[in-house]
Formats: sequence, C-alpha cells, structure tokens
Amino acid sequence: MKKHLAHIIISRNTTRWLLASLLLAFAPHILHLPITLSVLCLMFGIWRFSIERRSTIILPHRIFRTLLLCTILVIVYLYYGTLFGREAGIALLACMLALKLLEMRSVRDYIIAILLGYFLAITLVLDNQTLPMAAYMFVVAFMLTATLIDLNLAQKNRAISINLKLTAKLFTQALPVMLILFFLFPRIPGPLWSLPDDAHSGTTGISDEMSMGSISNLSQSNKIAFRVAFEEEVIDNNLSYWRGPVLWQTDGKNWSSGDSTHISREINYRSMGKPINYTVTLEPHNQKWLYGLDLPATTPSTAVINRDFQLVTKEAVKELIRYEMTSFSKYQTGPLSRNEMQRALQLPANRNSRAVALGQQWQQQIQSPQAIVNHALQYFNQQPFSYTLKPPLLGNNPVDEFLFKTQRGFCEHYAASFTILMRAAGIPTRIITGYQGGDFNPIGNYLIVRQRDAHAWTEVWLENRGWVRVDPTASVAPERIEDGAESAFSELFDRQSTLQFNNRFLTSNWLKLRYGWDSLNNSWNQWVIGYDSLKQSELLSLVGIESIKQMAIAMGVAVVTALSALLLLSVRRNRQKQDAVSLIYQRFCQKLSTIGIQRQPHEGPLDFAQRIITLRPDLEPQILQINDLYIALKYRPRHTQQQIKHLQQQVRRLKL
Amino acid sequence: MKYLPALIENIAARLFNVERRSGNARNNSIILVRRRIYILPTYYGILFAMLLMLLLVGATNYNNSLGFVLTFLLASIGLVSIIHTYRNLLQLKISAGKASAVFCGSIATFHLQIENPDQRPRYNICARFKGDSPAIININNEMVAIKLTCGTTQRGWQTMEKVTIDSVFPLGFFRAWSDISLPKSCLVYPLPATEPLSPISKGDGSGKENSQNGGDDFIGYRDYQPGDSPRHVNWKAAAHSDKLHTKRFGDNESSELWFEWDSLQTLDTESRLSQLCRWIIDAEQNGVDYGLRMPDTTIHPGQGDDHQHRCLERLALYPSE
Repeated sequence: MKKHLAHIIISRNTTRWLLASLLLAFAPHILHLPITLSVLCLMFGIWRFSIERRSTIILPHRIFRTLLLCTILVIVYLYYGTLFGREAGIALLACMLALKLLEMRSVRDYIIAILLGYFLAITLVLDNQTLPMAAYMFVVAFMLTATLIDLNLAQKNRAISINLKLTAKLFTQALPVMLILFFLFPRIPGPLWSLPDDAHSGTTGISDEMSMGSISNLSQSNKIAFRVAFEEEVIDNNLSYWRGPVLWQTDGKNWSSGDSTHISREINYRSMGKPINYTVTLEPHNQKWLYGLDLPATTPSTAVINRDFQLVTKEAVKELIRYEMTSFSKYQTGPLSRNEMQRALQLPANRNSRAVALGQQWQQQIQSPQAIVNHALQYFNQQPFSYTLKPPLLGNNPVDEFLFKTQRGFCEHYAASFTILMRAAGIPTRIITGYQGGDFNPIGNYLIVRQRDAHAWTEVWLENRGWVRVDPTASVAPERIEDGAESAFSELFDRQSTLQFNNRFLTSNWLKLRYGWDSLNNSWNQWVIGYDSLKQSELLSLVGIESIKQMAIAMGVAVVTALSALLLLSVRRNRQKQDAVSLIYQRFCQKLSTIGIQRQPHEGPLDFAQRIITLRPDLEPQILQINDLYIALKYRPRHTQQQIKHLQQQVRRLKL
Repeated sequence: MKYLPALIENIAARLFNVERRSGNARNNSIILVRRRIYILPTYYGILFAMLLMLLLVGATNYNNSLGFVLTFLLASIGLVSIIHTYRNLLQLKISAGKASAVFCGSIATFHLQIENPDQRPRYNICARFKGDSPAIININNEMVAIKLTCGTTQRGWQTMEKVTIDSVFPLGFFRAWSDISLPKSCLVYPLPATEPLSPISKGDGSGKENSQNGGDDFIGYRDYQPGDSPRHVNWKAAAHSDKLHTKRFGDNESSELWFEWDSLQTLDTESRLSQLCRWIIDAEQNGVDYGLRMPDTTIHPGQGDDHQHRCLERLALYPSE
C-alpha cells in the first residue's frame, strides 16, 4: 500500500517546511535538554538545511549515522542514568527525530518525521498545560499538518497560500469534531500503569511537616494554589481559613501530624449559622489531601474526612481537580478522647524550657483556660514582636530564642510558640496549616488563593466549646489576616516588582487585565484541564448518558452527524458556486438536446450556435440573441441582475 | 430564491439523467458519482492511527487534558481528511478521447479527458492502468487531457483496460479510488513482417513487378510512416520542421499491385497477415496503387491514408484460427 504515495516528488520547499515546523516543536525543549543534546539536535537541523541548499542532495553515510546514534544513546544514558522514563524518553525522541533529518529521502521518511513531530508536540504539554502553551501546541500541529499537505500537493511551483488555506480549512472543519471527541470520548481514569518517578516533578505547596521557616519559603511564590467559586457571597477575609494538614507531634523544632488519625465515618460537630457552598479548583500539589474552608461539612467523592476535619485523598493530587464543598464557619466540636488529649498536650523534654516555664507560670496565675489564651494573645501583641518574611535563623531551642530574643517571625513561628505556651499551660492545642485569605477576582467572581497565602494557625480545645481557632499571627499583624499576605508585605512586593505604577488609572487597568487573564485561565482550568473522567460522567449524566457504552454510542452518532453535515454542506456550497449564468445556459443546451442537437464537449458557445443555425435556420434570431447575452454575461466582468433575468426569459421563451 | 427554478431543473436533470446516475458509459464518459468512489486508509493512515493510539494511551496515563486535546485534534483532522479525499474525486467527469490505431507490438495511447465541474481545484489526481505508473494532474475549473499508454500484443480491437482514478490528497492517510471502464478500443494492426517476400501476384496481370525499394529514381517526398527505412528519411529537412519526410524512389510510371491472401499459402494465418501488412505499408510508401484480395472481401486498388487504413483494418480484424 506504500506505493500509493510513491509517485510524489519531494520538493526542497517541503523539507524547509518540515525543518521549520520541527524547530518549532523542539524549541521549548531546548532549555530542558542537556546542553550537548540541544546543540547536537540543532546542528543536525542546520546540517540538513545546508544539504538542501546544494544542487545535489548527499546525505551522510550510514556508518556515520550509526555512530551518531550510538553517541546520542551514550549521552542520554550518562545524563539521565536510563534510556527510559519521561525525561530520558523526551530527550531520545528529540534526538532520534533530529537524526532522522539526516536520512530523510523517501516519502516514507518524511511522513515518519512528521508523525514523530506530532509526538514531540504532545510532550510539550506534559507539564505545562497553560493556555499559552495550548496555543503554541496548536501552532506546532498546524505547521506539521501544513507540511504534510505540502508533501501531498503534486504541484511543483505552488503558492504557500494554497497550502496554508487548505490547512486552515482542515483545522476549522476538524474543530467541531474535536470538541465532540473531547467531551464524549469515554475517559478512563489514569494512570494505566505506574508512572515513572519523574512524572510529576516540580509541584510546590504545603507539606505535612512544618519547621520554622518552611512556610516563609512559600510566601514569595505567586503560584496559584487553588481557586474558589462561592455559590452565594464571597466569604470575609478574616474567615477565609483553608484547612490543610493538622500537626500534633513536635520535637520542639519540627512539627508533624504524628500518629495517623482515624478516619471518621461521619462528620460529628454541631454546625451553626448558614452553610457556605463553594467549588474549589485545586492545582496539583502532589500531596494526599484537599483544602476546605474551616470547617468542612461534606466530603467530595474523591476524599474522606478524618477526625481532624482534614480532607484526605487516597492518591496524591497529581492533576488539577475540582470539587464541590459545603462548610460552616460557626461550629462546636465534641469532647476529646484520651489519646487526643495526650497528643494535644505533648511537649518535648529538655527543649524550650523558658517557654514551658512561662506557660506553666500562666497556668498558675490565671484560672480559666479562656483567660490564658487571651493573655497569651495580649502578650504577643504588647511585646515588641514583628511580622517578617525574613526571620533570623534559630538554633536548638527555637521557641525560646524566638520568644525572648529575636521576636521576629512568620506565621509558623507564632503558631509554634503559641502551641508550646498553651500546652505548657495545660490547654490542648494543635497547629493547623493551610492557606489564609486570597485575592478576590471581580471579573470571574471567584477567590484566588496563592502559595504566598500559605499560613499556619492553631486550635485550642476548651471545655464546652470544643476546638476553637486561634490565630496568634493576627495579634501581631492583624492586616495579614484582614487584607491578606500581599498587603502585609506590600513593601516587599513593591521592591520586587519591576513594574511600578504611580498612576492610579494605569494601576487599576493593569489589575483589571490581570484579573481578566486569571479569569480566563480559571475557565480554561475548569473546562479543559479539569475535564476528567469524573467530570465527564458528572456532566454527561445531566443529559442522561450514564454508562461508557452510551457515551461511545453518543460519540459515534455525533461524529458521524458532524461529518455528514460537513459533507453535505461542502457539496451544496459547490453547487451554489456554479453560477446562475452557467445554469441557465445548461438549461438552454438541455432544451436543444430534446430536438437532437447535442452540444459536444469540445464545442464553444460560438461554434455551437453556428451549428444550431445551420441545422435550424428558423431559430437564428433567438439563438444569436441568447448567445450574445450569454457570452457577455460569462466573459465580461460587469453585468447586472437584470441581464441575467433577461437571459433567463429568452431561454424560457425559446420555442423549438 | 431567484435561481430556484434553474436549480430544481438542474437537480431534476441529475435525478433522471440515466447516463449520469448509473455511470453507464454509453457516451464514452463517466461521472464519478458517490457510489463509484471507494475509500480506504493507506499504509500511512494505519501508521497515523497507531500514533493516535499511542497518544491516547499517553494522555490517559498522565491524565493530561491537553494531550487529549491534541490527540482528538489530530484524529478529527484525519476524519475530516476523508471527506476531502473523497470530494477530490467526486463529480469528476472522465471521457475517453481518440485512440489512433497502432501496429502490434508498439505502444497504444488512449486519450482521456478529466473535467472538473466545480470551482474548487482538485489536486494530485492519479490516473493509471493497473500496475502502471500513474499520470498525475491538478485540475482547476477546467478540463485536462491525459494520455495513458499500454503495450499491444495482439492484432484486432484492443479495448481500453480498466482505468484507476485515485487520490490520496490532502494528507495521504486515505486513498479514494474508482475503477472505471470506458467502452473505448484501439485498433491494432498486424505486426509488419520484417523480411518481406516479393508480392507474387500482379493483380490482373497489368501491373509491373515492383521491388520493395521502388526504383532507383528519386521522385519526391511524402510524410514519414512507421516502417520506413531510416536511410530514406530526409534528415536535413527534419531539423527545420517537426515532421519527418521520407524520400520516395521509384519508377515514374504508376503501377497497380494486387496483394492476395491466396498467394501466401505456405504460411500460417498470422504470418500471412504480417506479410500482407508489410506489402501494404511499402506500397503506400512508394506511392503505388494497391488492392487487397482476402477470402471474404476485396478492396480495389487505391492509395492514401484512408485506403491504407481500410486495408490494414481488414487485416487486423481477420478472424484468427
């Protein structure tokens, strides 16, 4: 079957098209590949380009190419330690493709290079699924397809515009079919097999451990953690606590969740006030939990809730997911188990002894736990504590050093010190990590929570009230809680940003643009990136499609319908293009054929008219009139509708 | 709405025009209507499908939505290209032109006209006899003539073989084709004998014996014909014109020759026909009037292309044993 394309003559233009589109597909990889390989790939491309410029195409010898192949394999192995896996695979693919350029001769080689190019295009989006990258991928696919069409155009001196026009047409027509496939093709939840370790590299976010300084690392990142769309009105900033891991266990320096917390069957707290309904779109963070507003009242289908009211998933979140939630901002939790009580009072021995002594002193001086808490908060407020992104390094007794020496810290410093003080005073306390605040996007009407909003706060357990949220940071830097991290560090952000807008008008427009762009990204995430098997079944069940079988049938029907519609439409458009004048003349010829005068294919209108007149001299005036009109309409540039009508009448009146 | 009557009439003509609908080639032409066009993936189409499977598995494995987007985009382009490939052949009108008679053993040329009734151009259309290399054409809104050739092995009517019209445009992943047979034949004359015997019969006796070379006197030029000795071609004149001319030698007196089937009784039928063929060619070359006497017919002496054709046609169509 190969022979059907064997006759195609490959022009040098085609090679240039191919080189250009492959360069486009390769460009984003240049910086990620080892420098040797990038340079090698580019060199091969330039080599082929210069070969094309010579009069005869002489490709490097086979032995030489085999040597190059071996070199590449060795380099890839040395660099990655393997020939498999994602990164090494991409490197190999790019190099093989570049090497293929040096042996391309037949149509088969070209087509294989184009197909490999498509493959390279998909590797572009493996870890970058943003809107600009999607656009770029489209451009790459477009160019490669244009190359393929160029290969199949049998014309030697063809205009580029034909090629591009055809490709554009193909793409526009393919778009509806693509949408059908995208939404209806039955998705199987991946992965099909365990992924290589490097599959999801480079995700940032809160971890399930905390040490002094771990969160402040995040606070300079503008990366988005998640977005929240509220069903009713947006929640106040001082209630916007997004619950992540709950930390109990400490050695005085580091905090962790300690013993794995039991998963509770039901959510047992007394909710008060109005429920808050919202939808979270969580960026992948490669951890096994979701974030919910304090306190979650429902669980999304992908997660369960544990006794710490933390949303826990079975698998790490490696793709963008979207889930609907309900929370209550006013609540009352139940009693504490013995185990919990122990864990909530656990203090490391021989560490931070001054802080422990202070806590114990408070316990003796002050009667009620509530009063102790208030006293501690006042202590933070009145002592010269300050809130800073760049706290000084702390030694072996970090809480002591922080409380009594440096007094400069970030939220985790306050949360950790407060917890140590409270536990020393006999009040069960735990640390909650997560996010606080966020920017409200007025255009998309949702909240954007970024990595810099990462936060740590505490919960104390009080008799009759259960767990109560206490944020010691609020007493030091209330603006951090009221207005979010950005305003607390506005000075810092101003210094860091290169764009300084003094002009209010410009600033507001810049903000608008930024929010608009983020809102676009949000919809993109909701509808394209976040569209997985779960969302698919959710969406399709709305129209009554429940099973995979039904999905497949619906997809088949939709695709066939779209293609038939396309076929019908294009055939009809062609009919219409056949202009009215020709149609009238066709009728004229048909009329004459009824009396046995057939127009021969080689006969022009003039010759035909002449023949009719010799056969039927009586028709001469009518025939001549029709013929003159037809020729005028057909071959002269300007004519009016009236003339066409006139011709039509003439033909109709013709009596044979 | 203005063109509605004309349109209806046009559609009606399409519906009831038997020749058009059935593709029955009574009129030496065939329109490639829907039913006549077949379409299947090519080797590269299968390769492409395999790539798509690979991309799909990759996208599923990494749960990568943009991977799905690319996979489905390529798949849809592939699907849409079926329509383009198919439409590239749809409604093409193929008609057979003339096919001039040839001597057995030489190449017969069939002329085909391919007409594109639509405004849109058709690219990369191949026409071929089975197993031959194709003629490739692009057709704008016009008619394009192509020549297809095939060898001849037997005298008589050689009907045109099935012509395959196909196209893989635009992507090469699908091939649409249509096998058409047009009722066109090419007359194949017998193979002229290489060593001509002298014609024995001198007709009614009035003719003079005439050697195949004619006389020694140069008596003028005439158009070159297959079988003429290259030594007699006027090569000097050939440089100035695109036609070849053969020098004629012979006696000035015209003579009349009768070529008789019965005079060659020692040979089998085909050799006899070859021999007669050679005599006719030579006689025509030499400007001699000649007649042909076959068992069933007699052609009276004459000269000229038409006369020669009539004689050779008789030989070509002589029933074989």
